[in-house]
Amino acid sequence: MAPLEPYEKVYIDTDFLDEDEDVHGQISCETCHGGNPEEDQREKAHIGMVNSPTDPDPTNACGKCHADIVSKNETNLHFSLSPFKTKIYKRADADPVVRDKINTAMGNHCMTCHSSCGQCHVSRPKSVEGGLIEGHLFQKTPPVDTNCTSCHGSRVGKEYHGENKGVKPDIHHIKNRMECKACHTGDEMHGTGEEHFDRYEQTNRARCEECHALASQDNKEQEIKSGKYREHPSHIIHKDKVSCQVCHSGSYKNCYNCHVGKDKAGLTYFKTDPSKMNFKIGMNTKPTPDRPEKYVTVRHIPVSPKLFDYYIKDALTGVDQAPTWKMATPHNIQPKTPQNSQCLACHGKNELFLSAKDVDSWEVKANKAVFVTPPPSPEDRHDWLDKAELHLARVDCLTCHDPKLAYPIKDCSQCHTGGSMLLTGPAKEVDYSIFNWGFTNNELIEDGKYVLGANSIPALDIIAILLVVLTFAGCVLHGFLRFVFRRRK
Amino acid sequence: MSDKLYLHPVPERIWHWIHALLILLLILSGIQVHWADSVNIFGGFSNAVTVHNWAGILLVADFLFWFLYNIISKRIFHYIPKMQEIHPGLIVQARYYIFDIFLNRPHPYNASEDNKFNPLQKMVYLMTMFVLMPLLLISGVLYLYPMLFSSLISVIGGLKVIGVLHFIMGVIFASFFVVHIYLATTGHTVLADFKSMITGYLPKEDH
Repeated sequence: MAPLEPYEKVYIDTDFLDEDEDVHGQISCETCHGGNPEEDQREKAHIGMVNSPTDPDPTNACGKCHADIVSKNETNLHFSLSPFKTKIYKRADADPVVRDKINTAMGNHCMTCHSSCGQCHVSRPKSVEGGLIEGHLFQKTPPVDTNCTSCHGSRVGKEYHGENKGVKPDIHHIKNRMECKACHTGDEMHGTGEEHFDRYEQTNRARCEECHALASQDNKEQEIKSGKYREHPSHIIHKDKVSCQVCHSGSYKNCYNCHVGKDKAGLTYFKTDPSKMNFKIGMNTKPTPDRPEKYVTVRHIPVSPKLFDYYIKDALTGVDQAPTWKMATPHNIQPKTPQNSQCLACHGKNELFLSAKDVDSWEVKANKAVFVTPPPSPEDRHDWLDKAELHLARVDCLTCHDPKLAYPIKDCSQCHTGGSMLLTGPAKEVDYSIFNWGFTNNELIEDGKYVLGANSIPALDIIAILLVVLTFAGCVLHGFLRFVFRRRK
Repeated sequence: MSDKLYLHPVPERIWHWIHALLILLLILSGIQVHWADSVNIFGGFSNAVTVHNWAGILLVADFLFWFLYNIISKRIFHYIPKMQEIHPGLIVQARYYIFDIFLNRPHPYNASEDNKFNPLQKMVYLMTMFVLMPLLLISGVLYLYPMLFSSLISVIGGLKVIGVLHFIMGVIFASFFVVHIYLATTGHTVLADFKSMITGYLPKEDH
């Protein structure tokens, strides 16, 4: 994010006073900012003036007109950052002295990332040194560059805009130039009015299904009726089991360790280890009715047992009480990704799934619930199948695991037969005549697959049957004649 | 002098009945595998394939045993026809089965402990055990391990060639199986040859 010019931080555009440009310009300055406009002297006039009139309480400045939104301010995640507090408290020693130190540390560091009404709609957030945007003209939708990505830039912003080396931008950015607001509505930003301790608890958050109705089971019947139904089988198979990002996101940034402190000049700082691009699938530790998926993408958060050592040593005695790999929704969505290129790109690829091998020893207990117990390999799952390796290599998984079927096909004879299911075309009558020297289901052979039972030569089959039957008949006749002649004798 | 011939030593008899059982299982399971949609003998395609695979592997071992046993014991010579057994032996033996048998004429060639097969038996066994059986087994093994032998299969012309060859061999052996059982009834008595494959002894024929 480019820094603001010094004047930009304080410059108030005269357009602000134009009612057509911004109705807020019709409200006198002191109504929001305090101070005394009747005073002649600057110092006196500024007594009681507040720089940021909506932080921490926006009631006076905004409440008169925007009472509903203001009423949610205390629980608004951007303002309260309650998930931060919750997770830190979960890890922290309960001793009041320790808590006090931690609160100080959090106030100096973690909680500075919060945002108030004004820090979204009028200025940039304090955490990035503030500064007016658009000359104090109120922004109904905060600008992406100066506001959203000023806090959400290093991970989400870079992912979305494709600024991580080797990872494509999000399809929503490339294709439709969608901005944050396209998914993250004002409603979501302002919260529900209920206290949330995890951002995924918020029910009015952005959801892929809002737009991608085809991925939603609820809309399926309607889609079928309207003839628009073209749901990918994978969506049916993985629904409620796998989050959208598991199949559709690329690798994303993971941050490790964090140490906070103050430098010699008393300025606060934080340090993290170099971030790593990675992609990990973990267990959803808090499935909810609207997020029931078992497997989700997880991201490593910057936390360390020594996080607050500058303020108090070993404060995070319960560092193993909360996972360090958290459910994440990476913002680099692509229709095609390595993991959805084919079923076996995920199934059997244990390295994609989070395990104890991926974490430091102090994190093992913390992430136990997130670790994925490696399922049996596809080979082991199909060990009942003759030549499992060959089947896995040559047969499209969806042939047997067709979601339109109530259960995966385990009846071999549905493929190894004249009317083989392996052919996607309509079932054909097989010409079992002595003149048909071609192979049945020849399309399979042309595709490089010879399938036992499904490929045979009808003419040869007829000859074979005739040969055996005539041989048998010949033996019976011969025996009968022997019997007759011997009796005559 | 004994009135019985000891034609089939114990190893040969054990081998013979194992061989017979395996061939029968292979024919039946082969039929089900080939016509999976209309034949169900073993309770499902998968079972039939399993039976066919295991019986096939055992047949390879069984064939190797037969071959080594006959080489080492020198009983392989029972299968090698002499010149006069080819001509006129084959014609004489064929004429017997076509005409003489109905007239209750004696067998033109009587079995002996040194020469237990008639000329036609020798030729047929020679062909089946030295040509057709290896073709059947080799095609079966390639069919069984297509990934392992993919290069060789490719050189031969792909699995379709292997599959058709294996099928043809299977059909020939199925026909042979029928004829073999029937001709076993043409001995001295209807059951004489069957009994000899159990006891090892065959009563000498009186002429």
